[in-house]
Amino acid sequence: MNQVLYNIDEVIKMIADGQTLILAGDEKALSQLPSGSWIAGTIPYFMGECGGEFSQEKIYVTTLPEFVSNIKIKVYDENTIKNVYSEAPDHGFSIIIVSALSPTHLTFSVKAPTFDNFATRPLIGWISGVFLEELGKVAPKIYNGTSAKAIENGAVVLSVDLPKNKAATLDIINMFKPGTGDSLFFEEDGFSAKDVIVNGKKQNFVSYLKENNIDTKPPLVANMYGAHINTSFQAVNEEEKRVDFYAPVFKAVEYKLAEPVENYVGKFTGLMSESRGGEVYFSCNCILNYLYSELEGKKTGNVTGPITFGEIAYQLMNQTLAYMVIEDI
Amino acid sequence: MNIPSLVEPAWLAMLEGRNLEFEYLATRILIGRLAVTYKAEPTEEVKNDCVKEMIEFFERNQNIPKVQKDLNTIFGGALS
Repeated sequence: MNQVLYNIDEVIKMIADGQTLILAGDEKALSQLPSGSWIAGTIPYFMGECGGEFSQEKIYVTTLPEFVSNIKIKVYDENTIKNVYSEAPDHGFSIIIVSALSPTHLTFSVKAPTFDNFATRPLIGWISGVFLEELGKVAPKIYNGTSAKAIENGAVVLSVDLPKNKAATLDIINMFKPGTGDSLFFEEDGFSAKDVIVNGKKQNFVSYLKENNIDTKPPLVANMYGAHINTSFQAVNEEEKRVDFYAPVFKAVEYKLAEPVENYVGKFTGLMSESRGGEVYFSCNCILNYLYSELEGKKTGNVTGPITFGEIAYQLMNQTLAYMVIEDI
Repeated sequence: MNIPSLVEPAWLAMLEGRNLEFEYLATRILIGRLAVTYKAEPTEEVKNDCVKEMIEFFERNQNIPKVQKDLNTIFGGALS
């Protein structure tokens, strides 16, 4: 398997050589990099060439294929992120990294499906994060390598054109399937909900989860024409009778509680070999899959990438592996 | 590939929640979102806007094999 995790000096040399890079690493490592043609987001968890790995020294490196052209880097904020699909190349792909817990993260997560040209051009990426022991003390960040400055609120996007005989195809691997239980709807779009409509009847969501003794490690799952889109539980706030999520729930979308998954690595490897249909160029997987399935030290097939606070394949997802294949057409 | 026009009833069937499974992720996500939009406001204007968006999407991506399969799924293999 190709090397994907590099030490800081190696990455500095790649930047000095003029390579365009997409990077993931802890802030301690990324903050040492010089300006150049690169974008990055903070995270110290990876699926490296040797399997799941935590490191605050190594940097995960994605390089661009030789056949791409017209490389552009742009930073968006909560006011401009609405243009992210419209400004994507007509025939190419865009890689996006969004700083977690920022106004840009919130706006993109909730409103992306309403933005012009949503899902019409390939957009893949992730939400930056931090070492979990530093959560709440250190802000997740993104970097526009052109200035090499850390940004706490924003989304950095690297876009390229592809030749006419190639196309970028995004897909996801989701271990979770909607269960056969209650039908759940929410009255508002958002990262939290007090009430839920259960089989047509409104009740408090915290009470529903408690009364039914529901494990909140598996996510809520919506079935969008065969795409299972997860929304993960972040916290069940009994005092405020409110449930918080890592991605928004949307009104008018039916959700089900997911069936639990056992033997993540075994199932993942099987699904990955079935579905990818080509060499994976870019991928990322969720921190919750890493934690709940104890992926540290384990390999998930030949798939590598940053372990993230949210995965983007056109829109924000949770507990999902998102990947992109560049295929000949 | 000839993409059917706005008046083709199969487009409306997609907005009304016709139960099909697609291969291309963007097809699934886009049609899923448009169906939710139409369900929330089932007017002629919203229907036309949603169908136009579907047609533009398929025109833009019609060279991708998975998109061609999805189009044939919608139109019962009748496209060439």
